[in-house]
Amino acid sequence: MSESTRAAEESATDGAAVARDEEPLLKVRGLRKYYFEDDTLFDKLLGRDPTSVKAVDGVDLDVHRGETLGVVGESGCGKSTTGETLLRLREATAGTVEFDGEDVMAMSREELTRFRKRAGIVFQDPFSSLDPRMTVGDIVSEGLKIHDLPEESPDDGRSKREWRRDRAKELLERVGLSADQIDRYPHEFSGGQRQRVGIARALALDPEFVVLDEPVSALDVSVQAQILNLLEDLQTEFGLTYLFIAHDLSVVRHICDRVAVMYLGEVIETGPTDAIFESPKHPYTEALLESVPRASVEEQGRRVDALSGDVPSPRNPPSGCHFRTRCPKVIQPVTVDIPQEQYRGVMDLRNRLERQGFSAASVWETLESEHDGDEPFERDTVVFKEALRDEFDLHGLSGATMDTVEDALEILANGREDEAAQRLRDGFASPCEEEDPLLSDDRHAVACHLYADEDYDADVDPDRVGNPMAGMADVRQPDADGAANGSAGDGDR
Amino acid sequence: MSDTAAAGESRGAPAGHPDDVLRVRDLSTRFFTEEGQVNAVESVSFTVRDGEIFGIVGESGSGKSVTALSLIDLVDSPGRVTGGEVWYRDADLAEEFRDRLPDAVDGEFVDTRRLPKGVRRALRGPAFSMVFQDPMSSLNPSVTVGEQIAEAVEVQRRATANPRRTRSRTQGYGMGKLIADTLLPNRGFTSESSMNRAIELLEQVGIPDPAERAHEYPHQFSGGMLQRAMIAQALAGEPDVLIADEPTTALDVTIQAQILNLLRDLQEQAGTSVVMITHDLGVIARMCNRVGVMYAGQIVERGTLSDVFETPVHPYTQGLLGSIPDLDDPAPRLQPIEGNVPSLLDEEMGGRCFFADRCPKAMTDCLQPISEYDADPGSDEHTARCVLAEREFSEADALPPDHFDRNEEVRGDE
Ligand code: SF4
Ligand code: SF4
Repeated sequence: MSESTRAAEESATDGAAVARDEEPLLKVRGLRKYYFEDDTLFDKLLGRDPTSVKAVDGVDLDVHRGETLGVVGESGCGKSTTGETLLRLREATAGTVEFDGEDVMAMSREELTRFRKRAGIVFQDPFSSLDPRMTVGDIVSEGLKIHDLPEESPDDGRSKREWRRDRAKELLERVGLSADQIDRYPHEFSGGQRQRVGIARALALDPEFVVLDEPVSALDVSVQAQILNLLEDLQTEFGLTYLFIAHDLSVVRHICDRVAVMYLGEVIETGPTDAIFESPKHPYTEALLESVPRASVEEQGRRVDALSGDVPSPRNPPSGCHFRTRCPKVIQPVTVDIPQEQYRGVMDLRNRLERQGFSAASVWETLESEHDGDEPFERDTVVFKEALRDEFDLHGLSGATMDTVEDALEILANGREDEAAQRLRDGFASPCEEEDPLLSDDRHAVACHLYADEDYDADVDPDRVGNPMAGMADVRQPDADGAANGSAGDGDR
Repeated sequence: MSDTAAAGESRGAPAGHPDDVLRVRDLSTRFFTEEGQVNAVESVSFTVRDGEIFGIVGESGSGKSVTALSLIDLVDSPGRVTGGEVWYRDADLAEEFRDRLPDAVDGEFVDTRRLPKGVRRALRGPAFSMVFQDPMSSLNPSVTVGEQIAEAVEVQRRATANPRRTRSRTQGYGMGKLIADTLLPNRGFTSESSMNRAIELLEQVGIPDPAERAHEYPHQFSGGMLQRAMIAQALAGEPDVLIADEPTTALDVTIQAQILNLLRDLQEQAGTSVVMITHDLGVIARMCNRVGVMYAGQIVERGTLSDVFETPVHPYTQGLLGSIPDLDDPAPRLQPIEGNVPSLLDEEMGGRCFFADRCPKAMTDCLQPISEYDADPGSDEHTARCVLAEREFSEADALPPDHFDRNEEVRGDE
């Protein structure tokens, strides 16, 4: 994904469907945060190349004044790193962050100090994020002290220290604690109360913008509801802008105005909350929403088509669309036309061979362990192939497709894994693995090839997967045609 | 068996449904800490039927996990199960102890609390086994996953070799046992066959390349795969009752969906009964037939899923349901329960409804110990530990809002 393309789009279409008059308070473009492993001097001496872990891999976000933008995703998707990097609590590898028109990445030390007054953060863990040796009064007023506030001695004769203490009391009261708890220590408080202290600390400097990093995930539901209500009240009262990072979709739906869904370091869908929840576009968003257990009797016995497998490691994200190794709708090449489950099965087999060190030996071993009777175990290729057909849902293929699959199974049974993978790759490579889909440029934006053609052919039905994908060449083409964009009725339908 | 049960009051197993495999009565567990006696589980009663998923839902500190540990006698010092009965249906076991320990036997039921400690512990595995939130609490980091499961298999085989336990069960469960019986006519105890069985179990719980993964160490597994491995380990004993304590809490939602599907398969195909312990009302709703809601060590409401979710009587249950944001219908404002959970310290509990200090409907009637009442709405299994099951709320009897501020030391004043 290239941020230069994105930037070009930005200026060309002037935000296109984003009908906002004002500039966003926070504007993130192409944010990247890579970590390097095996990067010590010792590793260099051994001639090891550092491995990069792409925790955040080209994220664009806009947060408008007074709104709550939710950033949601599963563990390891990079959502917390995004929050910390855009506040410069971690140094970004690349990308720009503009806060109220100022370039955060280029800020000098003083500018950064001023920025920190305006942008705060509340952390997830109310237990480890508060210094156990400090009283809550000191914790809440620490920021005031660091910023040497108040600037002038108060004219009512209080010392600066007294002023800070009074301010801390006010804040404690405001977040629902009592002022006379000011000299207590964090361990004397429950989890919910500590999170209130964390919120009071973040509010001490009167910020405009607060990153809330999983602020309620460690709390029980009854306490969680108290804190969510508090956050909403504070937002109204102080006109705060929130970036709300969470994995709990119900919480996100409840509190956010807009949502960005992340997967493996990228934003794969973003839009108004109702649009995302009521008509999700990206297959991953669909799967996420489908997976959440609802607390109602209709949920009873509901069987979810669970996504298969685990999230791949960010050390080695899949080429093209990062979601393709699990995507139930992964697009078939023009040359293949088989039921989607079987295509998914072929891709799963390939994926295991290519990425997970799947070996014929392990299949034989499993077969041997299942073998019963007194006869010694003998390797039977027919049994081997049948086991794989069962496991990967490969029954019922026909024609050329079947031939390729059968070939590959035969090769695999003979222990030539790489060759089997190659055979499958040649026969079944998906357009999804060639190009990383770009986030489209509408209010309800999605990064998925299924939607690439929407503006040109409004009839394309993204649910009709398994069809050859027409016009793959157009996929990368940003829709510079803003008019077609609008009339196609994109966005949140 | 229900006629025998009817004969005695606290003697013999409680009456119940003919399909009950477990009947728990008045189970209490205390922790004797430096700060004082903590009443973690307070007179808890419930039943679990063949092949059902019974849910226990509660927030932290509600006693739900300690209840699980108490069932299988895993409570460690300074905690102790101080009272109550755990009646488990096992005809052979009942036969064995009928004469020796007549108090511990009623029909096909045996009160495991009255059995000698050794026998009770031997039931772990073949009768009950447990899956925890944190797989590392039951997997040893320095032994391969396969070996650990094979070990569990061998323990089970030794137990089955014991003449007492070579009975055939009338029910259709024990699928693994059937497989083992057909595959291993001689019941050899070689570790190779145990390892084969371990591989089979890993395959059954959906671990790809089981033969290869069996040789790997726990740290080489992802969170979801570890959870599967732990379930495989728990299944090695072919338990009648699988106790799952927050089995998906540490997992991402797409992985959670996989594990819940797996547990559902086990329950449906192998007929295993599951006690599902969680704080997540959504997980309860998807998985459970019947539910108990725990608060401050007690089951405050129980019944079918719809009793509890559609017609809750206890204000705590209502509050819990009002606290969760709804994914499909975002309510403008949540209705949280004010205040905090009580400390469970014996001296601070008082002889009253434990929820009274947070309850919007607390009345003078609530200032005495509250027993479990039949609750009218819903099914006839619906009970609540709340006076509202018996009477209407009346403004005239309501406690003044500051009642507890004046009368008790305030703990947690959110
Ligand atoms: S681009 Fe392909 S693999 Fe990725 S989400 Fe869309 S259909 Fe699935
Ligand atoms: S018994 Fe009284 S205080 Fe307790 S939950 Fe019922 S109404 Fe509320």
